[in-house]
Amino acid sequence: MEIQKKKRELTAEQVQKIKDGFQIQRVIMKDSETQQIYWDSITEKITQDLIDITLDPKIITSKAATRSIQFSTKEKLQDLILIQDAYLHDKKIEHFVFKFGFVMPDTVNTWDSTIVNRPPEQMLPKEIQSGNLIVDIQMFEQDHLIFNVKVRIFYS
Amino acid sequence: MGLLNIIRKIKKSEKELRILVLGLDNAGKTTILKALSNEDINQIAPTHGFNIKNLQHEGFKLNVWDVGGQEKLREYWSNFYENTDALVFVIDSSDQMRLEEGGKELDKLLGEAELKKVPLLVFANKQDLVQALPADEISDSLKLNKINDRQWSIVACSAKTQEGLQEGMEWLIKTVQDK
Repeated sequence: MEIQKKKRELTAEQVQKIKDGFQIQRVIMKDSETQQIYWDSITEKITQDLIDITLDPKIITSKAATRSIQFSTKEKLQDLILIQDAYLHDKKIEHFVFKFGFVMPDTVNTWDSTIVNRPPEQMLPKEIQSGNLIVDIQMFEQDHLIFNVKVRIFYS
Repeated sequence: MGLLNIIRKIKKSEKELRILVLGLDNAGKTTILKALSNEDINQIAPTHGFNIKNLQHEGFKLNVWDVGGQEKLREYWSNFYENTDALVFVIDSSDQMRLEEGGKELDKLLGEAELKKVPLLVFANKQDLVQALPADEISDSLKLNKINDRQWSIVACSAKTQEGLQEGMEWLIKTVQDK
């Protein structure tokens, strides 16, 4: 049985309210097995449009890596979607979509995304990636962009 | 052990699996998922929202949704039923006072049209505590034997010692995939 959910039309004012009440609180990148943390936003600001981060290259050779995003929202969200595009030298090499759907008002939520890596020999070497890899993360409530950050990745 | 092992050996017949984890507040839902992800379980605060575990391997996605169990959050649970492939209901086996309340919430879930026929795993959690009731007594109290419209199982577990966690999740995923 298909359940039809009526789409909620949002006014510009409502969209602004959603944006104002939406915050990325913390981002962590870690090894999924050892739990070793490669990067933690607690020491960085994530309000800028483009941030440079330096990762331990071990993340490329780890068996699986987890990215944890904690976000809060004051407003109820009807259909939250995360779109992530990775660009190497401006060429899109990865497109990823995650549909959260409904998000409760006045909540703090976490999203842990774990990717089982391909064998190390199939991964792009750190020399090719470092400084040339930009990950563009966009979050939408329905069709409205409510959060956007671009992350340029360097390897130590 | 854990979700990572499960996704590595899962048969990738479907593209995506969505597991919904519910239960009263303080039942141990978040702790179970953290234990299944090799994470530290010593500092866990009540969930004022949801925690999602999204795992990807060879194009297959496993999504586990843990939604806070406090009373004011329960009114929103129905927003998370859509497309659920499997339901996990977590019980604090050491809290006899709240067994009835847990049973009522479970009954409501079993009556939901969007969760019709969705396989159910009941985790009788906190078995490491001396006052914990055994799984068969919890099963009687929840009247699980009366469930005849879906596959179900109850597994005694402890998020703290990890007893039962892997066994329960493997049963659930196998059951969904054999459906």
